[in-house]
Amino acid sequence: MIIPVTLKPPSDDGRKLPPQLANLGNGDLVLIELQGTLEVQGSTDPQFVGTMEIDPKTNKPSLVIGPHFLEGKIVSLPTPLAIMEKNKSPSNDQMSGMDVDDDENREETGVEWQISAIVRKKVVFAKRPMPILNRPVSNIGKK
Amino acid sequence: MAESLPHGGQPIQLAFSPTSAKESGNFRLLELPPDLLKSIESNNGSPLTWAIKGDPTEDAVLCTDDKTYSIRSISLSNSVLIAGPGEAQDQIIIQDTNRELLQVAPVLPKVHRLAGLLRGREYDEGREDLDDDMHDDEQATQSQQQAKKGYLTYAQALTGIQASEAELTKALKDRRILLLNGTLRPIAASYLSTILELLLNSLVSLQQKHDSASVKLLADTLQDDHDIRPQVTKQVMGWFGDVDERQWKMEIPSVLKQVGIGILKSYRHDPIDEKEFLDKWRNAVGDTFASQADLSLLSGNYLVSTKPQSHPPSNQLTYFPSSELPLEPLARFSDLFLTRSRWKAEEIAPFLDDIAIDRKERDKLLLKYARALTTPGGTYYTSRTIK
Repeated sequence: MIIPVTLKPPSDDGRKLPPQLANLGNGDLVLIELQGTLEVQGSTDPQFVGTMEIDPKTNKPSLVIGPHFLEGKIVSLPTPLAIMEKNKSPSNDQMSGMDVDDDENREETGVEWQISAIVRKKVVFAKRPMPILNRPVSNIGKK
Repeated sequence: MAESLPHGGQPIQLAFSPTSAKESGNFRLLELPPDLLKSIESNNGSPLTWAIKGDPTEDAVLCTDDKTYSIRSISLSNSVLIAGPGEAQDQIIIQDTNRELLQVAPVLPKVHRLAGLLRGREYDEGREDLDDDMHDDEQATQSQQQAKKGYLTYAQALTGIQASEAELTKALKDRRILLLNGTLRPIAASYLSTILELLLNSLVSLQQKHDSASVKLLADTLQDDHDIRPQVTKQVMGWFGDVDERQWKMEIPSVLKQVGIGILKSYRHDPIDEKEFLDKWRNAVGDTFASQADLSLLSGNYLVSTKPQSHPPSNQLTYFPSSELPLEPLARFSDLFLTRSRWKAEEIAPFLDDIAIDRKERDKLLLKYARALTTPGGTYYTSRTIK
């Protein structure tokens, strides 16, 4: 069995990362590391998770999720990472216009992985969250 | 866009994507050692042609154009969110959550499988079973027919064997496998020796220089006088030197080595005197090249023993090719120590070269599977198994 690994061509849908996060690697993806997991109840359909902020002076990130405040840092990765994305339906992308036989061959070989981005830095929130007491969410970041 | 907060930073809204639940598992994180990173970054314009190869029964490997890497999954204690840009400039969308990292390490390509896949498919003198006079446009269909007959095609080998294309090409060259009409055919050793000896003789008789011999002249001569297909002669020349359109630059050592092995092969069970062997070898390669036939060319293919009761003491050689030893380190060491109970460091080294990627790894194998004994006469290795 053989699974091709290719480079994803740069997307041109006009979407860009916020400028504060744009220098963490090349490509439009960032890594945010959290201790533990995000527990989600119910559906994850377009759901707001939290607000992140990067202090332009100290370059320290902070994250507020509900009543939790997390302090983090931006860490350089010892080894750069490629973020690979499973190519969901090759037949819809480049394969359109090809005849049915080719499409069937394609399915035999299975999926394809595309390298969407290379990241050299990640945002890490490794500390335990601190509770925010009696503060409305709009006041995040204040101490 | 939201106004600045007291911290001074622009707030970034973090959200799940509408499809994030469905898309879970669609992303992988792959560590990029310097050579892989370079291979992506130096990739200007030409598409990246990496591939993950492996049957369900094998551990998958990653193949670049010229290297093979093992893939290992490392579990992370933290979770890593992979986020991309959202609809709004101040929004990022979580695409996936990942708790593992793929780590790669260079490994030897699994080209050893070729031997098993090609058993019984040898190409030998007098076993002409392929149609010679074929046009190029017929070759594709011919290749498919050959595949049905049980011959392994190049395309099948590239898909089925865990090796990069450059490594596969090199393996075909190293293992003396001909590519005839799209199928892989190992050349019979005796036939190869014959062709090489004919080439060496023809160089002399046609007064060609070994570093700029005419490809056409040699191929035609071998075809006319000895009925050897030019397609075969040309590939053989390519294995033993550089061939461009017209000229062959012969690599003398590799030709001499192959001819030497051809002679040595008959002495698998009964040893031959070192001197007698050298005479035979030098005779076979002819006067022009005789002086360059040195035993060091054959390292990893023979064992030396001292002839009992001889004055002066003389050495004897036995054919012992490392290519026939098991690939599994444990099995290889047990074979080696069955053959000899103790080995000098420099004696055992040639028999480990094809299972260790470098010197460091060889030393690691020795440390793990053998016991080192340091004596005034040098370091010896013995078996770790207590008999």
